[in-house]
Amino acid sequence: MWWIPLAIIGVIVLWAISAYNSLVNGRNQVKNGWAQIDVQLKRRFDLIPNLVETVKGYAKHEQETLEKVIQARNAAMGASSVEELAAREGELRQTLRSLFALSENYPDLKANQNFLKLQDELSGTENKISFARQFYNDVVYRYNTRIQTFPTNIIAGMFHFTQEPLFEVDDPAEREAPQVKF
Amino acid sequence: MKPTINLYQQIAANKRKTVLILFGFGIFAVLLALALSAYFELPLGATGVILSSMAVLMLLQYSLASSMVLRIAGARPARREEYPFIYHTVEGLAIAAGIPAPKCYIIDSPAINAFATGRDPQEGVVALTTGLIERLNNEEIEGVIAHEIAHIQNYDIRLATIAIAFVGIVAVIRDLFVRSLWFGGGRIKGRSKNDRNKGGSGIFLAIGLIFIILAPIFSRLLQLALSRRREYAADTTAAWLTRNPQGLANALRKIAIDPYPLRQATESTAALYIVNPLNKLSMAANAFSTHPPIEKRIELLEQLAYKY
Repeated sequence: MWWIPLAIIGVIVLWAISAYNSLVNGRNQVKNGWAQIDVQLKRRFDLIPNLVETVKGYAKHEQETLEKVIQARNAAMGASSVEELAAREGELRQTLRSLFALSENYPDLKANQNFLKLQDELSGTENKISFARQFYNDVVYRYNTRIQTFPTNIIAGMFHFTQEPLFEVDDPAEREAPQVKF
Repeated sequence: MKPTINLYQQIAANKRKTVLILFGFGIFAVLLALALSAYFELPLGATGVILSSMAVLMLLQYSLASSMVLRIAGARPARREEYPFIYHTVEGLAIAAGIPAPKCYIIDSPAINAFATGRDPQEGVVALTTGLIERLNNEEIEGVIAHEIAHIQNYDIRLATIAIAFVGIVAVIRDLFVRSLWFGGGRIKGRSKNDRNKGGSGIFLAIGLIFIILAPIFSRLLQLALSRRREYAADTTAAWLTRNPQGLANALRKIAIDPYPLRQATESTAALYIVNPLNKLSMAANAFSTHPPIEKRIELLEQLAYKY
Protein backbone atom coordinates (compact mmCIF):
# COMPACT_ATOMS: atom_id res chain seq x y z
CA MET A 1 0.00 0.00 0.00
CA TRP A 2 2.95 2.29 -0.64
CA TRP A 3 1.00 4.24 -3.30
CA ILE A 4 -1.66 5.64 -0.96
CA PRO A 5 0.43 8.51 0.44
CA LEU A 6 1.64 9.16 -3.11
CA ALA A 7 -1.95 9.40 -4.37
CA ILE A 8 -2.87 11.78 -1.53
CA ILE A 9 0.07 14.03 -2.35
CA GLY A 10 -0.93 13.93 -6.01
CA VAL A 11 -4.47 15.05 -5.22
CA ILE A 12 -3.18 17.86 -3.02
CA VAL A 13 -0.79 19.06 -5.72
CA LEU A 14 -3.57 19.02 -8.32
CA TRP A 15 -5.83 20.99 -6.01
CA ALA A 16 -3.05 23.52 -5.30
CA ILE A 17 -2.49 24.05 -9.03
CA SER A 18 -6.16 24.67 -9.70
CA ALA A 19 -6.46 26.99 -6.70
CA TYR A 20 -3.41 28.93 -7.85
CA ASN A 21 -4.78 29.25 -11.37
CA SER A 22 -8.15 30.41 -10.15
CA LEU A 23 -6.43 33.09 -8.05
CA VAL A 24 -4.42 34.27 -11.07
CA ASN A 25 -7.64 34.34 -13.07
CA GLY A 26 -9.30 36.39 -10.33
CA ARG A 27 -6.42 38.85 -10.21
CA ASN A 28 -6.61 39.32 -13.98
CA GLN A 29 -10.35 39.92 -13.76
CA VAL A 30 -9.71 42.61 -11.18
CA LYS A 31 -7.15 44.21 -13.51
CA ASN A 32 -9.60 44.05 -16.39
CA GLY A 33 -12.33 45.55 -14.21
CA TRP A 34 -10.02 48.38 -13.28
CA ALA A 35 -9.11 48.97 -16.93
CA GLN A 36 -12.82 49.37 -17.71
CA ILE A 37 -13.14 52.11 -15.09
CA ASP A 38 -9.96 53.74 -16.34
CA VAL A 39 -11.21 53.97 -19.94
CA GLN A 40 -14.40 55.75 -18.85
CA LEU A 41 -12.57 58.07 -16.45
CA LYS A 42 -10.16 59.10 -19.22
CA ARG A 43 -13.11 59.75 -21.50
CA ARG A 44 -14.60 62.05 -18.90
CA PHE A 45 -11.30 63.82 -18.25
CA ASP A 46 -11.15 64.55 -22.00
CA LEU A 47 -14.72 65.85 -22.16
CA ILE A 48 -14.42 68.30 -19.25
CA PRO A 49 -12.08 70.89 -20.87
CA ASN A 50 -14.42 71.05 -23.89
CA LEU A 51 -17.36 71.57 -21.60
CA VAL A 52 -15.61 74.30 -19.65
CA GLU A 53 -14.65 76.10 -22.90
CA THR A 54 -18.24 75.97 -24.13
CA VAL A 55 -19.67 77.28 -20.87
CA LYS A 56 -17.04 80.03 -20.68
CA GLY A 57 -18.41 81.65 -23.84
CA TYR A 58 -21.83 82.10 -22.30
CA ALA A 59 -21.28 82.46 -18.58
CA LYS A 60 -18.34 84.80 -18.05
CA HIS A 61 -19.23 85.55 -14.46
CA GLU A 62 -18.97 81.97 -13.31
CA GLN A 63 -15.19 81.87 -13.35
CA GLU A 64 -15.07 80.43 -9.84
CA THR A 65 -17.25 77.41 -10.56
CA LEU A 66 -15.39 76.67 -13.79
CA GLU A 67 -12.06 76.79 -12.03
CA LYS A 68 -13.34 74.44 -9.35
CA VAL A 69 -14.34 71.94 -12.04
CA ILE A 70 -10.91 72.11 -13.66
CA GLN A 71 -9.20 71.76 -10.28
CA ALA A 72 -11.32 68.78 -9.32
CA ARG A 73 -10.56 67.18 -12.69
CA ASN A 74 -6.82 67.67 -12.30
CA ALA A 75 -6.91 66.38 -8.74
CA ALA A 76 -8.76 63.24 -9.86
CA MET A 77 -6.29 62.73 -12.73
CA GLY A 78 -3.39 62.92 -10.29
CA ALA A 79 -4.83 60.42 -7.80
CA SER A 80 -2.39 57.60 -7.09
CA SER A 81 -4.50 55.02 -5.23
CA VAL A 82 -7.96 53.57 -5.61
CA GLU A 83 -9.10 55.11 -2.32
CA GLU A 84 -7.80 58.55 -3.23
CA LEU A 85 -9.32 58.37 -6.69
CA ALA A 86 -12.67 57.35 -5.24
CA ALA A 87 -12.60 60.41 -2.99
CA ARG A 88 -11.53 62.81 -5.78
CA GLU A 89 -14.14 61.23 -8.03
CA GLY A 90 -16.89 62.19 -5.60
CA GLU A 91 -15.68 65.80 -5.52
CA LEU A 92 -15.50 66.00 -9.30
CA ARG A 93 -19.01 64.65 -9.56
CA GLN A 94 -20.18 67.31 -7.12
CA THR A 95 -18.60 70.22 -9.03
CA LEU A 96 -19.95 68.96 -12.34
CA ARG A 97 -23.39 68.80 -10.83
CA SER A 98 -23.15 72.40 -9.68
CA LEU A 99 -21.91 73.41 -13.15
CA PHE A 100 -24.97 71.88 -14.78
CA ALA A 101 -27.24 73.43 -12.16
CA LEU A 102 -25.68 76.81 -12.95
CA SER A 103 -26.32 76.40 -16.67
CA GLU A 104 -30.03 76.59 -15.89
CA ASN A 105 -29.55 80.37 -15.53
CA TYR A 106 -28.29 80.78 -19.11
CA PRO A 107 -30.97 80.02 -21.69
CA ASP A 108 -28.58 80.67 -24.59
CA LEU A 109 -26.14 78.12 -23.23
CA LYS A 110 -28.90 75.59 -22.75
CA ALA A 111 -29.88 76.01 -26.40
CA ASN A 112 -26.30 75.48 -27.61
CA GLN A 113 -26.09 72.21 -29.59
CA ASN A 114 -22.51 71.59 -28.57
CA PHE A 115 -23.36 72.02 -24.90
CA LEU A 116 -26.33 69.65 -25.16
CA LYS A 117 -24.18 67.04 -26.87
CA LEU A 118 -21.47 67.35 -24.23
CA GLN A 119 -24.06 67.10 -21.48
CA ASP A 120 -25.43 63.91 -23.06
CA GLU A 121 -21.97 62.45 -23.47
CA LEU A 122 -21.03 63.26 -19.91
CA SER A 123 -24.15 61.74 -18.41
CA GLY A 124 -23.60 58.63 -20.56
CA THR A 125 -20.01 58.41 -19.37
CA GLU A 126 -21.15 58.99 -15.81
CA ASN A 127 -23.46 55.98 -16.11
CA LYS A 128 -20.72 53.85 -17.60
CA ILE A 129 -18.39 54.79 -14.76
CA SER A 130 -20.90 53.56 -12.23
CA PHE A 131 -21.51 50.34 -14.19
CA ALA A 132 -17.76 49.80 -14.49
CA ARG A 133 -17.42 50.46 -10.77
CA GLN A 134 -20.18 47.92 -10.10
CA PHE A 135 -18.41 45.29 -12.23
CA TYR A 136 -15.05 46.03 -10.60
CA ASN A 137 -16.51 45.77 -7.11
CA ASP A 138 -18.27 42.48 -7.94
CA VAL A 139 -15.03 41.01 -9.20
CA VAL A 140 -12.98 42.34 -6.28
CA TYR A 141 -15.56 41.03 -3.81
CA ARG A 142 -15.29 37.52 -5.25
CA TYR A 143 -11.49 37.68 -5.43
CA ASN A 144 -11.11 38.93 -1.86
CA THR A 145 -13.51 36.29 -0.57
CA ARG A 146 -11.46 33.60 -2.28
CA ILE A 147 -8.26 34.96 -0.74
CA GLN A 148 -9.76 35.03 2.74
CA THR A 149 -11.58 31.70 2.84
CA PHE A 150 -10.10 28.36 3.79
CA PRO A 151 -8.41 26.48 2.17
CA THR A 152 -7.59 28.83 -0.74
CA ASN A 153 -6.12 31.31 1.75
CA ILE A 154 -3.13 28.96 2.23
CA ILE A 155 -2.23 29.19 -1.45
CA ALA A 156 -2.95 32.94 -1.48
CA GLY A 157 -0.59 33.42 1.46
CA MET A 158 2.16 31.29 -0.09
CA PHE A 159 2.14 33.17 -3.38
CA HIS A 160 1.39 36.64 -2.01
CA PHE A 161 -2.04 37.24 -3.46
CA THR A 162 -3.26 40.30 -1.61
CA GLN A 163 -6.72 41.75 -1.24
CA GLU A 164 -7.70 44.47 -3.67
CA PRO A 165 -9.46 47.65 -2.52
CA LEU A 166 -13.11 48.23 -3.41
CA PHE A 167 -13.93 51.35 -5.37
CA GLU A 168 -16.42 52.86 -2.97
CA VAL A 169 -18.61 55.81 -3.78
CA ASP A 170 -17.51 58.90 -1.98
CA ASP A 171 -20.40 61.04 -3.00
CA PRO A 172 -22.20 62.81 -0.19
CA ALA A 173 -25.36 63.01 -2.31
CA GLU A 174 -25.40 59.25 -2.77
CA ARG A 175 -24.36 58.31 0.72
CA GLU A 176 -26.70 60.43 2.75
CA ALA A 177 -30.36 59.63 3.03
CA PRO A 178 -32.44 62.26 1.25
CA GLN A 179 -33.64 64.93 3.61
CA VAL A 180 -37.31 65.62 3.63
CA LYS A 181 -38.36 69.14 4.52
CA PHE A 182 -41.85 70.32 5.22
CA MET B 1 -27.58 37.27 -2.53
CA LYS B 2 -25.30 37.32 -5.55
CA PRO B 3 -26.57 35.17 -8.40
CA THR B 4 -23.03 34.25 -9.40
CA ILE B 5 -23.16 30.50 -8.78
CA ASN B 6 -26.48 30.39 -10.55
CA LEU B 7 -24.91 32.21 -13.50
CA TYR B 8 -21.95 29.85 -13.82
CA GLN B 9 -24.24 26.83 -13.60
CA GLN B 10 -26.37 28.35 -16.32
CA ILE B 11 -23.36 28.93 -18.58
CA ALA B 12 -22.09 25.39 -17.94
CA ALA B 13 -25.53 23.93 -18.69
CA ASN B 14 -25.75 25.93 -21.91
CA LYS B 15 -22.33 24.79 -23.07
CA ARG B 16 -23.24 21.20 -22.25
CA LYS B 17 -26.47 21.43 -24.21
CA THR B 18 -24.66 23.00 -27.15
CA VAL B 19 -22.24 20.09 -27.28
CA LEU B 20 -25.17 17.68 -26.96
CA ILE B 21 -27.01 19.28 -29.87
CA LEU B 22 -23.90 19.24 -32.06
CA PHE B 23 -23.24 15.63 -31.09
CA GLY B 24 -26.85 14.70 -31.80
CA PHE B 25 -26.65 16.34 -35.18
CA GLY B 26 -23.40 14.52 -35.95
CA ILE B 27 -24.93 11.13 -35.15
CA PHE B 28 -28.02 11.99 -37.12
CA ALA B 29 -25.93 13.03 -40.14
CA VAL B 30 -23.79 9.88 -40.02
CA LEU B 31 -26.85 7.62 -39.74
CA LEU B 32 -28.55 9.37 -42.63
CA ALA B 33 -25.46 9.18 -44.83
CA LEU B 34 -24.96 5.49 -43.97
CA ALA B 35 -28.60 4.68 -44.68
CA LEU B 36 -28.49 6.46 -48.02
CA SER B 37 -25.27 4.83 -49.14
CA ALA B 38 -26.35 1.38 -47.92
CA TYR B 39 -29.59 1.66 -49.83
CA PHE B 40 -28.05 2.88 -53.06
CA GLU B 41 -24.90 0.82 -52.53
CA LEU B 42 -22.75 3.90 -52.96
CA PRO B 43 -18.95 3.72 -52.66
CA LEU B 44 -17.31 4.96 -49.46
CA GLY B 45 -16.23 8.20 -51.18
CA ALA B 46 -19.83 9.16 -51.86
CA THR B 47 -20.71 8.69 -48.20
CA GLY B 48 -17.84 11.01 -47.36
CA VAL B 49 -19.15 13.59 -49.81
CA ILE B 50 -22.64 13.43 -48.29
CA LEU B 51 -21.21 13.78 -44.78
CA SER B 52 -18.90 16.66 -45.59
CA SER B 53 -21.58 18.53 -47.50
CA MET B 54 -23.81 18.23 -44.46
CA ALA B 55 -21.00 19.53 -42.27
CA VAL B 56 -20.51 22.47 -44.64
CA LEU B 57 -24.24 23.14 -44.62
CA MET B 58 -24.24 23.10 -40.82
CA LEU B 59 -21.26 25.48 -40.65
CA LEU B 60 -22.89 27.78 -43.17
CA GLN B 61 -26.13 27.80 -41.22
CA TYR B 62 -24.23 28.42 -38.01
CA SER B 63 -22.21 31.32 -39.36
CA LEU B 64 -25.20 32.89 -41.07
CA ALA B 65 -27.78 32.11 -38.39
CA SER B 66 -27.59 35.42 -36.53
CA SER B 67 -27.75 37.56 -39.68
CA MET B 68 -30.57 35.31 -40.89
CA VAL B 69 -32.46 35.81 -37.64
CA LEU B 70 -31.99 39.56 -37.93
CA ARG B 71 -33.28 39.53 -41.50
CA ILE B 72 -36.32 37.41 -40.62
CA ALA B 73 -37.06 39.79 -37.74
CA GLY B 74 -36.78 42.76 -40.09
CA ALA B 75 -34.11 44.38 -37.92
CA ARG B 76 -31.87 47.21 -39.14
CA PRO B 77 -28.71 48.57 -37.47
CA ALA B 78 -29.47 51.45 -35.08
CA ARG B 79 -27.65 54.69 -35.82
CA ARG B 80 -25.83 56.15 -32.85
CA GLU B 81 -27.05 59.69 -33.54
CA GLU B 82 -30.62 58.49 -33.73
CA TYR B 83 -30.63 56.42 -30.54
CA PRO B 84 -27.93 57.81 -28.21
CA PHE B 85 -29.72 56.61 -25.07
CA ILE B 86 -29.96 53.03 -26.36
CA TYR B 87 -26.26 53.02 -27.18
CA HIS B 88 -25.28 54.47 -23.80
CA THR B 89 -27.44 51.95 -21.97
CA VAL B 90 -26.25 48.94 -23.98
CA GLU B 91 -22.61 49.95 -23.56
CA GLY B 92 -23.03 50.67 -19.86
CA LEU B 93 -24.75 47.36 -19.10
CA ALA B 94 -22.20 45.46 -21.19
CA ILE B 95 -19.51 46.98 -18.96
CA ALA B 96 -21.48 45.91 -15.89
CA ALA B 97 -21.72 42.37 -17.27
CA GLY B 98 -18.05 42.33 -18.30
CA ILE B 99 -18.70 41.56 -22.00
CA PRO B 100 -17.85 43.58 -25.13
CA ALA B 101 -20.63 45.98 -26.16
CA PRO B 102 -23.15 44.21 -28.42
CA LYS B 103 -24.41 45.82 -31.63
CA CYS B 104 -27.79 47.55 -31.53
CA TYR B 105 -30.56 46.80 -34.02
CA ILE B 106 -34.01 48.32 -34.47
CA ILE B 107 -37.20 46.56 -35.57
CA ASP B 108 -39.83 48.89 -37.01
CA SER B 109 -42.94 47.73 -35.22
CA PRO B 110 -45.37 49.33 -32.77
CA ALA B 111 -45.28 46.14 -30.67
CA ILE B 112 -43.12 46.11 -27.51
CA ASN B 113 -40.54 43.35 -27.78
CA ALA B 114 -36.81 42.65 -27.94
CA PHE B 115 -34.35 39.82 -28.52
CA ALA B 116 -30.65 39.04 -28.52
CA THR B 117 -28.70 36.91 -30.97
CA GLY B 118 -25.11 36.17 -32.00
CA ARG B 119 -22.69 33.28 -31.82
CA ASP B 120 -20.86 34.22 -28.65
CA PRO B 121 -20.56 37.12 -26.20
CA GLN B 122 -17.94 38.69 -28.51
CA GLU B 123 -20.47 39.04 -31.33
CA GLY B 124 -23.69 39.77 -29.52
CA VAL B 125 -26.59 41.70 -31.00
CA VAL B 126 -29.46 43.33 -29.15
CA ALA B 127 -32.58 44.16 -31.18
CA LEU B 128 -35.39 46.38 -29.90
CA THR B 129 -38.69 47.36 -31.51
CA THR B 130 -39.43 51.03 -32.11
CA GLY B 131 -42.61 50.50 -30.09
CA LEU B 132 -40.48 49.50 -27.10
CA ILE B 133 -38.27 52.57 -27.38
CA GLU B 134 -41.26 54.88 -27.72
CA ARG B 135 -43.56 53.41 -25.11
CA LEU B 136 -41.28 52.32 -22.27
CA ASN B 137 -39.53 54.77 -19.95
CA ASN B 138 -35.77 54.80 -19.50
CA GLU B 139 -35.80 52.59 -16.43
CA GLU B 140 -37.91 49.95 -18.19
CA ILE B 141 -35.74 50.05 -21.33
CA GLU B 142 -32.71 49.56 -19.11
CA GLY B 143 -34.36 46.48 -17.57
CA VAL B 144 -35.14 44.97 -20.98
CA ILE B 145 -31.63 45.63 -22.32
CA ALA B 146 -30.15 44.11 -19.15
CA HIS B 147 -32.26 40.97 -19.75
CA GLU B 148 -30.91 40.69 -23.31
CA ILE B 149 -27.33 41.33 -22.15
CA ALA B 150 -27.84 38.54 -19.60
CA HIS B 151 -28.78 36.14 -22.43
CA ILE B 152 -25.59 37.10 -24.25
CA GLN B 153 -23.45 36.72 -21.12
CA ASN B 154 -25.02 33.34 -20.25
CA TYR B 155 -24.28 31.85 -23.70
CA ASP B 156 -28.03 31.46 -24.20
CA ILE B 157 -27.68 33.08 -27.61
CA ARG B 158 -25.10 30.59 -28.81
CA LEU B 159 -27.31 27.68 -27.85
CA ALA B 160 -30.31 29.33 -29.49
CA THR B 161 -28.34 30.10 -32.65
CA ILE B 162 -27.10 26.54 -33.01
CA ALA B 163 -30.54 25.14 -32.29
CA ILE B 164 -32.07 27.40 -34.94
CA ALA B 165 -29.36 26.42 -37.42
CA PHE B 166 -30.12 22.77 -36.66
CA VAL B 167 -33.85 23.16 -37.22
CA GLY B 168 -33.11 25.18 -40.36
CA ILE B 169 -30.99 22.35 -41.79
CA VAL B 170 -33.69 19.78 -41.19
CA ALA B 171 -36.07 22.07 -43.06
CA VAL B 172 -33.58 22.46 -45.94
CA ILE B 173 -33.13 18.68 -46.27
CA ARG B 174 -36.89 18.17 -46.08
CA ASP B 175 -37.45 20.69 -48.86
CA LEU B 176 -34.66 19.11 -50.90
CA PHE B 177 -36.28 15.69 -50.77
CA VAL B 178 -39.82 16.94 -51.24
CA ARG B 179 -38.69 18.95 -54.27
CA SER B 180 -36.69 16.09 -55.71
CA LEU B 181 -39.97 14.21 -55.92
CA TRP B 182 -41.12 16.74 -58.50
CA PHE B 183 -37.90 17.55 -60.33
CA GLY B 184 -35.25 14.88 -59.78
CA GLY B 185 -37.65 12.06 -59.08
CA GLY B 186 -38.21 11.03 -62.71
CA ARG B 187 -34.54 10.73 -63.53
CA ILE B 188 -33.73 8.67 -60.48
CA LYS B 189 -36.72 6.45 -61.13
CA GLY B 190 -35.50 5.86 -64.68
CA ARG B 191 -32.03 4.94 -63.50
CA SER B 192 -33.19 2.62 -60.80
CA LYS B 193 -35.51 0.86 -63.21
CA ASN B 194 -32.50 0.00 -65.34
CA ASP B 195 -30.27 -0.91 -62.42
CA ARG B 196 -32.59 -2.79 -60.16
CA ASN B 197 -36.16 -2.48 -59.21
CA LYS B 198 -35.90 -0.41 -56.07
CA GLY B 199 -38.19 2.48 -56.91
CA GLY B 200 -36.01 5.56 -56.42
CA SER B 201 -38.91 7.96 -56.08
CA GLY B 202 -40.35 5.66 -53.45
CA ILE B 203 -37.33 5.97 -51.19
CA PHE B 204 -37.16 9.71 -51.80
CA LEU B 205 -40.79 9.98 -50.86
CA ALA B 206 -40.12 7.97 -47.71
CA ILE B 207 -37.17 10.16 -46.71
CA GLY B 208 -39.17 13.26 -47.49
CA LEU B 209 -41.99 11.98 -45.30
CA ILE B 210 -39.59 11.14 -42.49
CA PHE B 211 -38.27 14.69 -42.59
CA ILE B 212 -41.74 16.16 -42.72
CA ILE B 213 -42.42 14.25 -39.51
CA LEU B 214 -38.99 15.02 -38.03
CA ALA B 215 -39.05 18.78 -38.58
CA PRO B 216 -41.70 19.61 -35.98
CA ILE B 217 -40.15 17.12 -33.54
CA PHE B 218 -36.85 18.92 -33.88
CA SER B 219 -38.41 22.29 -33.29
CA ARG B 220 -40.08 20.82 -30.17
CA LEU B 221 -36.71 19.54 -29.00
CA LEU B 222 -35.26 22.96 -29.64
CA GLN B 223 -37.94 24.51 -27.49
CA LEU B 224 -37.17 22.07 -24.70
CA ALA B 225 -33.46 22.83 -24.93
CA LEU B 226 -34.22 26.53 -24.57
CA SER B 227 -35.72 25.87 -21.20
CA ARG B 228 -37.93 28.26 -19.33
CA ARG B 229 -35.42 28.37 -16.53
CA ARG B 230 -33.10 30.46 -18.66
CA GLU B 231 -35.72 33.22 -18.79
CA TYR B 232 -35.87 33.31 -14.99
CA ALA B 233 -32.06 33.26 -14.91
CA ALA B 234 -31.85 36.16 -17.37
CA ASP B 235 -34.42 38.11 -15.34
CA THR B 236 -32.41 37.52 -12.16
CA THR B 237 -29.17 38.56 -13.83
CA ALA B 238 -30.87 41.66 -15.26
CA ALA B 239 -32.02 42.61 -11.76
CA TRP B 240 -28.46 42.16 -10.53
CA LEU B 241 -26.94 44.22 -13.36
CA THR B 242 -29.32 47.15 -12.97
CA ARG B 243 -29.75 46.76 -9.20
CA ASN B 244 -33.36 47.59 -10.04
CA PRO B 245 -35.74 44.64 -10.59
CA GLN B 246 -38.71 46.99 -10.69
CA GLY B 247 -37.67 48.43 -14.06
CA LEU B 248 -37.87 45.07 -15.83
CA ALA B 249 -41.01 44.09 -13.89
CA ASN B 250 -42.78 47.25 -15.10
CA ALA B 251 -41.59 46.61 -18.65
CA LEU B 252 -42.98 43.06 -18.56
CA ARG B 253 -46.27 44.37 -17.24
CA LYS B 254 -46.50 46.79 -20.16
CA ILE B 255 -45.59 44.06 -22.65
CA ALA B 256 -48.32 41.81 -21.20
CA ILE B 257 -51.04 44.37 -21.97
CA ASP B 258 -49.46 45.55 -25.25
CA PRO B 259 -52.21 45.22 -27.89
CA TYR B 260 -49.97 45.34 -31.00
CA PRO B 261 -48.91 42.07 -32.66
CA LEU B 262 -45.31 41.67 -33.81
CA ARG B 263 -45.81 40.78 -37.47
CA GLN B 264 -42.12 40.06 -38.01
CA ALA B 265 -42.10 37.15 -35.54
CA THR B 266 -42.02 33.56 -36.84
CA GLU B 267 -42.21 30.09 -35.27
CA SER B 268 -38.46 29.58 -35.55
CA THR B 269 -37.46 32.89 -33.97
CA ALA B 270 -40.26 33.24 -31.40
CA ALA B 271 -38.20 31.58 -28.68
CA LEU B 272 -35.61 34.35 -28.85
CA TYR B 273 -37.82 37.25 -27.82
CA ILE B 274 -38.04 38.57 -24.26
CA VAL B 275 -41.73 37.64 -24.30
CA ASN B 276 -42.97 35.08 -26.82
CA PRO B 277 -44.62 37.27 -29.47
CA LEU B 278 -46.82 34.44 -30.80
CA ASN B 279 -48.61 33.39 -27.65
CA LYS B 280 -48.07 36.24 -25.29
CA LEU B 281 -51.38 35.77 -23.56
CA SER B 282 -51.13 32.10 -22.69
CA MET B 283 -50.78 32.47 -18.96
CA ALA B 284 -50.59 28.77 -18.16
CA ALA B 285 -47.24 27.21 -18.97
CA ASN B 286 -47.62 24.11 -21.07
CA ALA B 287 -44.93 21.50 -21.54
CA PHE B 288 -43.62 23.04 -24.74
CA SER B 289 -43.67 26.75 -24.00
CA THR B 290 -40.30 28.42 -24.16
CA HIS B 291 -41.20 31.19 -21.76
CA PRO B 292 -42.67 31.05 -18.26
CA PRO B 293 -45.90 32.99 -17.75
CA ILE B 294 -45.30 36.74 -17.49
CA GLU B 295 -47.15 36.82 -14.17
CA LYS B 296 -44.64 34.44 -12.61
CA ARG B 297 -41.69 36.43 -13.91
CA ILE B 298 -43.05 39.68 -12.53
CA GLU B 299 -43.69 37.97 -9.19
CA LEU B 300 -40.09 36.73 -9.03
CA LEU B 301 -38.72 40.17 -9.86
CA GLU B 302 -40.85 41.80 -7.19
CA GLN B 303 -39.53 39.35 -4.63
CA LEU B 304 -36.02 40.37 -5.66
CA ALA B 305 -36.92 44.04 -5.28
CA TYR B 306 -36.51 43.80 -1.51
CA LYS B 307 -32.91 42.71 -1.83
CA TYR B 308 -31.54 45.79 -3.52
